Amino acid sequence: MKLHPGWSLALLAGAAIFGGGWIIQQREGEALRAERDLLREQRRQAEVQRVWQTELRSRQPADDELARLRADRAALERLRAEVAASRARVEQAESLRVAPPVKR
Amino acid sequence: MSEDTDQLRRYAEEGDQEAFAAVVRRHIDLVYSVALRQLNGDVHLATDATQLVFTDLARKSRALASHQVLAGWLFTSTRFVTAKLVRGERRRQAREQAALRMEAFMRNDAPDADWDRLRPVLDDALAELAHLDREALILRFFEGRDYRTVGARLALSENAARMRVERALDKLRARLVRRGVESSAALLAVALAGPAMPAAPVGLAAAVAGKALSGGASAAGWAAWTHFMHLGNLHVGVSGALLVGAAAGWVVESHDHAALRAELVELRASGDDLAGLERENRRLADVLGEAGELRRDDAEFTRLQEEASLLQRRLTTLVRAAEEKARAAQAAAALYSLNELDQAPVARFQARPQYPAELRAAGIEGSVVVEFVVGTEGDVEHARAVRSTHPALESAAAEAVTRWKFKAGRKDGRDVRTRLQIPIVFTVADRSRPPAAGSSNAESAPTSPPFTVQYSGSGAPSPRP
Repeated sequence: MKLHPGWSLALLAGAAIFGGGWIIQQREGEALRAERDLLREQRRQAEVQRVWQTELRSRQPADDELARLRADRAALERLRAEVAASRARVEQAESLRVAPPVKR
Repeated sequence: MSEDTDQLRRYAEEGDQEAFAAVVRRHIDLVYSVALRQLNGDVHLATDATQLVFTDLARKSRALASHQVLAGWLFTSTRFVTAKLVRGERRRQAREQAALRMEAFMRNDAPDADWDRLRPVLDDALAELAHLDREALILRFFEGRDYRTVGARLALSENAARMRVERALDKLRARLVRRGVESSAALLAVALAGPAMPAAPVGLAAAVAGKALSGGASAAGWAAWTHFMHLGNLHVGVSGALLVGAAAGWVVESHDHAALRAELVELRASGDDLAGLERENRRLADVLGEAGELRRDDAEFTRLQEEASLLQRRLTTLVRAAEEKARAAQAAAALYSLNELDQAPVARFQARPQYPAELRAAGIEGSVVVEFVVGTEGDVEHARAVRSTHPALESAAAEAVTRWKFKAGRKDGRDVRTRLQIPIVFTVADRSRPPAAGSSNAESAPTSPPFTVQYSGSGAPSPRP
């Protein structure tokens, strides 16, 4: 089979055109794939964050409990002082109880 | 300078296409015949090979312009080209098919039995000859030159050319004999001059010259392109494969891009606010951490509350105990008389008073009323004589009572202090008589029966309640 050089040239030109387009597409594809990989990674991270958020929400204290805990913290110092005073009074009372009786 | 040299130079330097066409016309039968033999009579491949050889000649025309015997180069080049074409599966198949055609060709054009045996080995035997011998034979028999022309081409005299041809013919015959082809030099000369040089197809020279010129006239790149073009099926296949491959790659990549874009649209549309999620998770984690600390504080708070409660109870108990103790002390400090008690004190031990010796010697008797307090433990406190018949008896009585032990009196279930008075009578045994109790303090009656201490003259005193 013989082909006219013009046709052969056309074939090669077509191959060059398609090849060039293919190379351009390759580069564009690389950019698209990079963006896709980035978005996939973001989606994966978001999924992880959602799971973590569900876990965090399940462990969150109720609002009233949180308010009570905060109030307790505020009262803690006062209670510590009260307990310290009570200990002192008890110790004093104990010492009085075990003291030898006064000789009449 | 030969015609070949001159024409090739003109073509190479001046682009004289007619000169190149003359070279082609002069040598095409040689090239075609060698190709035809090498390709076992495949006229199509022989045509392709001829085209390739002359295309190559056009490309190398400048270098070959100085070559004295162009026919020798053409012979060698044709063998190389046909050897390349022979290689490969398709060429083998084509050769098998061409063998049938070759039979018909030889049957019609070369019935000579010598030629039948000579044809397959002739070119190999020629190739083994030294190039001057080979060129002499080619010029003489393939191109049909006379000895003078052969001598001119080989820079020899006519006689020397004849001798060269004859010796070359002998050498060729010897090589053919080694290949099993027996022939005389004369018969060999006849065979070489006949079917060894079939004429190329009509018009091939013009076509080859045209195509060679169309490619070889300009640059080497164009010559290579022309070379490639004349590969026939090969270039069509390669070009088509390139086109199809590139197009397929383009289509596949386009399809891949479409899928990628669709996935990107979906991924973008999902709108994952990663930063927002992370921010919210940090807030939740902070709250959780604060709750953890608060719970720890709350545990301490609860523990402190419990401790405070325990301390409070303990303190209450201690205060109550202290109060009870105080009340008990107060109760113990209170003095009761016998008629106020629920249960009177009971003496458990009563020491005898010492009778003053001078009073006993003098026979002086008497009594002492001793007042004392029986404590909650049963001990005697504050013993003192409140009345006596003789002062000398008071100290002995009080001292003895101080050592007495009692079971404490009880009031409302508790031991209490009780104030008692008891008369102690001192008597001498042989003058026993009742003591004059209350003689010194009549208004204060003793609260207990008299405790009599009676002494015999030498015996120990014996208490008598």
